[in-house]
Amino acid sequence: MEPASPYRPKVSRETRLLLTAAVLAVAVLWLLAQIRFDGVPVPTSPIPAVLSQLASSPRFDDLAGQLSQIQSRLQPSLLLVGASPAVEPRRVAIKLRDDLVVTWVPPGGHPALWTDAPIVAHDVASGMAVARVADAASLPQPLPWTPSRLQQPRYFFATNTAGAGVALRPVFVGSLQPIDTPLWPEPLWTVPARTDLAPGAFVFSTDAELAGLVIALERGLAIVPGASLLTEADRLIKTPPGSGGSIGISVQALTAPIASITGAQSGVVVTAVDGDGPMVRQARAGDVVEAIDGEAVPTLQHWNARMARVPPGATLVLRLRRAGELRDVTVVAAPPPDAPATRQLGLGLRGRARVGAEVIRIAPGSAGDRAGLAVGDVITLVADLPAPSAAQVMRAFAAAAEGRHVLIAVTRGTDHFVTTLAR
Amino acid sequence: MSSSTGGDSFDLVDLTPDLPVDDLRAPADGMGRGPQGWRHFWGWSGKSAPVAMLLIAGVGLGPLGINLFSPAMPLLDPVVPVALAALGVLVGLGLGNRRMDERRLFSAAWLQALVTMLIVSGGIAMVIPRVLSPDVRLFWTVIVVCGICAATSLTLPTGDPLEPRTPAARVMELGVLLPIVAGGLALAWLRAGSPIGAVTLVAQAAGITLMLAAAGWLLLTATSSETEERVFAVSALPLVGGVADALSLSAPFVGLIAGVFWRIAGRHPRESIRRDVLFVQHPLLVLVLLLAGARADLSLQALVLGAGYFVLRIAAQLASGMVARRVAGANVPSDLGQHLLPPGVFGVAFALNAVSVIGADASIAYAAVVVGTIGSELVAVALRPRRLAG
Repeated sequence: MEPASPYRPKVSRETRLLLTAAVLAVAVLWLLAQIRFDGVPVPTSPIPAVLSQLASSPRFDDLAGQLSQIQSRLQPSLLLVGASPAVEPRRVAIKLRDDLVVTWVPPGGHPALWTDAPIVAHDVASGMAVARVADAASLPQPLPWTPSRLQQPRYFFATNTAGAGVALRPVFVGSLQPIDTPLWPEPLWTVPARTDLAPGAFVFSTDAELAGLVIALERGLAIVPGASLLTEADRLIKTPPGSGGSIGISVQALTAPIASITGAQSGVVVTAVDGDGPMVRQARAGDVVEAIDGEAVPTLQHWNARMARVPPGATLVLRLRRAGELRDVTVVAAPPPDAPATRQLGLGLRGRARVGAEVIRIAPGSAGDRAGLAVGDVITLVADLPAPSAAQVMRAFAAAAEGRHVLIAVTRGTDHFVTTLAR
Repeated sequence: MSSSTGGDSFDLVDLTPDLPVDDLRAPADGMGRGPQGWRHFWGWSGKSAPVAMLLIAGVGLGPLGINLFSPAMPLLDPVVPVALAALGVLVGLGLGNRRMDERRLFSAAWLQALVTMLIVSGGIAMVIPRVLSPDVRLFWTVIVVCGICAATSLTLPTGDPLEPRTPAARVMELGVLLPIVAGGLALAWLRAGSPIGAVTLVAQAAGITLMLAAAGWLLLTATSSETEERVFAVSALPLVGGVADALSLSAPFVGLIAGVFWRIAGRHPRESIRRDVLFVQHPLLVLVLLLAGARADLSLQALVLGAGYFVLRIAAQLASGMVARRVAGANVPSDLGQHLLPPGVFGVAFALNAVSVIGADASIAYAAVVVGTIGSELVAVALRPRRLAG
């Protein structure tokens, strides 16, 4: 047997190759570790970062991570529109198409004051409004969310106005229940009581899809589904509902005692008839309106929704029940009472000594209304006159030239702001 | 190059010289003289593809190059699950072909794939915190996809169960099984977000696939001509791939289920499907590789991650080759790791499938796999096994 060659290597070729590859791999990885990337924190040792990913993290961490991602994805598609923040809170809007955005105007809102986003169409009954925003064409439009199971508890991300921008915050929603309302053709989703949502907020799924718009109903909050919202907004532009017509009666909900006396099963009860209105000789207090144009009016909400969409000159057929007897009454809706000219102040004021003038009445469409004043506000300064009396406010407004503005300072509760009355 | 599944004439388990082994026809020096040798050097044969060349060509045809592919890419996307399902079907059909020392080779192949996956996943986990922003889902997606893609070296399983295979080639064939199963479960888990959801998803997919496979089998048993057989067999592929695509699951995994069913169901349909799937598989894979190259978004992060993937895969395949050889015994060549260096098609195709299933989280891993695959292919040319290199 020949002795082993002194030059024969003690390790095999494969082992040498493996060791070389391992050393090279470590060297290359070390070199790669020297490269720095923007936005990626450089860990002194990668081990803790790896371990933190391997360990099960609390759900709140996941939620915060999702929120951070969704915020960056949705931020470009959310914008604030509305009047001056001093007049009323600005509203969140999302892109509908081209340069149009969809938003919600609460009852008593002043869409006429929106200077940065003029209203193109507004459904007074539902509050939905479409406004034109010059730079909306570049905004991405959120995709509507389609739920698999409505009743399943879940997190949503709701919009929140924060200063000059829009923020998102997570909201836990225990379940969603479909509900039919006269305001929307598709069912809405009611949310459980005490859910931390506010009317006018848009809500998004954890995949950044548009879940819907939060609105207030008589029985609580509801979400208008995203797909339904976008469809209705499109329809609103094409066929805007009429508004402004009046038939000159006031009504209230039908209660059981009144129903038992009148013999009506459902409807609304007439409480007053306008002496100058179109129904002055056709209806009286105590009548029950059971249907309009053949459609039942089961609740006060149905009545309000129908009346808010009546244009002046429209012919309506009301089914009235009086003393158990039914009869149909045809009525033509009258135009709304003449609004005071915008150059009128339109304020009922009461003097408050050494404080100013308190607003006790506001005529719709007047300069006071357009300035965003509310009943209970106290005008503490007009022009350069502090603590003005009611007469001084009126004189100062009357003295201003047409087209000019009169500066006023207003106290509303504990808040103070300055605005102008347009002459 | 690439997965030359019939690569060396050394240590043939079942030496049958008359049976065709494509790679044996090439000159032994690998450098080649004439077109046949040149093609052999670049791995162009009936059972393998020049992966790196096709990927680079795809990059050149894509948005990073002359942008020729971009308009057609959405139309070509459905090809990916079909090609991957075909790969799974072939692996499933090949299961149970008894060969000498099969059990030991099977264990060695699984161990080799497992070791590679662990090394690459572990190494990539160390690289991620320096390259990507911290995100749990992204973290798991990248390490799972990289680990699974690195573990295979296979381009095409054998079409003929009686064809002589080297033990190294058999290790490659058997070693693809674990990544397919692991990939199927991992993608289901990443998509469903919970283990229970993943199991439910896999059960749904298995049920639908088995129904489809049974329907295909019934049709194939009732055929009266070879043309009919071919039509039914080839039609079954888009259905199986479509199930995976519709359920957003791993296409090779779904194909594997169908393949195993047809393997068990009976010989006649099995042979028809094997023949016809192989007939369309090679062009499909070429298209997948071109598409893969075109879709890779080669950012700086992807290049760094891809470089890490590449060095880790080389070291992992050499190490796992040594471990597997100890299990398989003296039958396998001592340089088994070098046989396993070519990346094959499965890895990059699986990464492409992961992008369509998981979404954007997998795109960085996918680009890294493309970079690493090209690098691995070039290293495999330089470090050819001794018998192949001459």
